[in-house]
Amino acid sequence: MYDITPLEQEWKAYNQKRKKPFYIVSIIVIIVSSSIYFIDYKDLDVVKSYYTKVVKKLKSYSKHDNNTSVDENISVDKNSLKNTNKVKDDTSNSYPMDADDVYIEDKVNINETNKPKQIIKFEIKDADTPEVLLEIEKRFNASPDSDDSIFLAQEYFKKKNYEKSAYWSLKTNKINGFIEESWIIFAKSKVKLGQKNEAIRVLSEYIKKTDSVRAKKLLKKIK
Amino acid sequence: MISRYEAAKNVFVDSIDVDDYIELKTSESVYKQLEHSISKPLKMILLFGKPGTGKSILLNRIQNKLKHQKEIHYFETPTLQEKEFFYKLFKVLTKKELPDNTEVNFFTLIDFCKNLRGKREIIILLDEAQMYSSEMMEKIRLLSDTRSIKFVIALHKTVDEDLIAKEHFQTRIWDSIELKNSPQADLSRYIHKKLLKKNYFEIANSIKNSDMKLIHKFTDGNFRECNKLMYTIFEICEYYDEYEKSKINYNRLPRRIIEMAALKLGYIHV
Repeated sequence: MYDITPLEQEWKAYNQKRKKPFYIVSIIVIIVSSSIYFIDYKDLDVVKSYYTKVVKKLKSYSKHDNNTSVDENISVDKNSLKNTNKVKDDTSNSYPMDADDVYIEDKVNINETNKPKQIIKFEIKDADTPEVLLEIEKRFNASPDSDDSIFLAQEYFKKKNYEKSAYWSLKTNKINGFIEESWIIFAKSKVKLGQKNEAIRVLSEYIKKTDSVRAKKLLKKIK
Repeated sequence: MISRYEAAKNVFVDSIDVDDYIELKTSESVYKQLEHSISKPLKMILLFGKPGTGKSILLNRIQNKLKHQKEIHYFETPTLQEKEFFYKLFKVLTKKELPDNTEVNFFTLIDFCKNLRGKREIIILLDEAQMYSSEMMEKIRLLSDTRSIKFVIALHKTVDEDLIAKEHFQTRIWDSIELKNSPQADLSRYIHKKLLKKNYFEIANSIKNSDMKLIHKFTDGNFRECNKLMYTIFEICEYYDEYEKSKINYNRLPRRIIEMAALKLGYIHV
């Protein structure tokens, strides 16, 4: 019969040695995955805050200048972000600059100096690319936010994807039924999709609730 | 009453007993190949393979099967003394004992064999042939040239020994059969069949496929090594069964025990 105790001890040592690489690999995997998660989260946060500010800015433009179309606002906004220094220095800019605007541009400048240039370029230049829109859609599905959905509605309307713009404005209305821009886009999209009666019905209901001048003008135009 | 593991352990005592032979796909194919080679008019057949691949048991089995049909003789342990070898051969050929104080004259033996040609066909199975000296091998070659004796030469496959064999028998060996280590499926069947043959059903069922993989990994599919490992495994089981029952699972052979046996036999190291 064996003296089993030394053999058991030998096996314990063998087992520990065998498991050692697994422990090391596990620790490395945990460290790498957690660092990847942290970096991704930070990047997403930057993108999210950027789009939130863009939407806020669009709102402020539409408040100050009702005659300017949304499309123009976006393109001007992009240009202004592309040339942040120019916007800062140009005091004769026809769009009102408030503390929020300065804050955004300062933030972009900080990002440009601290982060790799490519990321900032992506955020600004490709704001309306399908990838970014999909990213915002994903984010919306994860946590619904009317700022995101109205942004998507505007972008899709601009891209003449009326089904999607109607869909996203409807989503916005479900979250917040008092965003005028959303009702307007919804009605315009329905008209473009050939559903004029639906557009009239929706606008009429909105006018009953809010007595919106802009909605009345659009309703008249549609009729 | 002996413990179930003690009995199972004894199943794996290395033996060349034909009763212990386990039919497996690969070994059956080699067996048929050898049987076919023997039936052909060859002077020599070389059977080679690593130790523990089943050469001896194969020779035993073929001798056992053909002994009533042919003059077939198994020379188990090589006789290092030339005198002893020829004494054994004399007895086989003449069916008589060599008188006291006499020696076999090799050339007379050759002449005797030449006279036997066409009258008798004698098959000699030479196990562990790598242990014969070169001179002895040369004499065996000359005897095979008489065409009355057919030699099946079983030897270990090592580079040198293989070369020696080829140098000596290059023109005379007309058939060579190689025995290889068995694949995992065959080794699993071997272990299960060995246990089932002795009615140890529960123990056979406690060895799962993953255990078989591990056993195959440690033994590289070699039957002799497998026997050693299984013996050691059941010896450890026997100890636990007697003294520390909590450390053994009767439904599933613990991987720990297989590894302990492998450590004991030096297949793995800390």
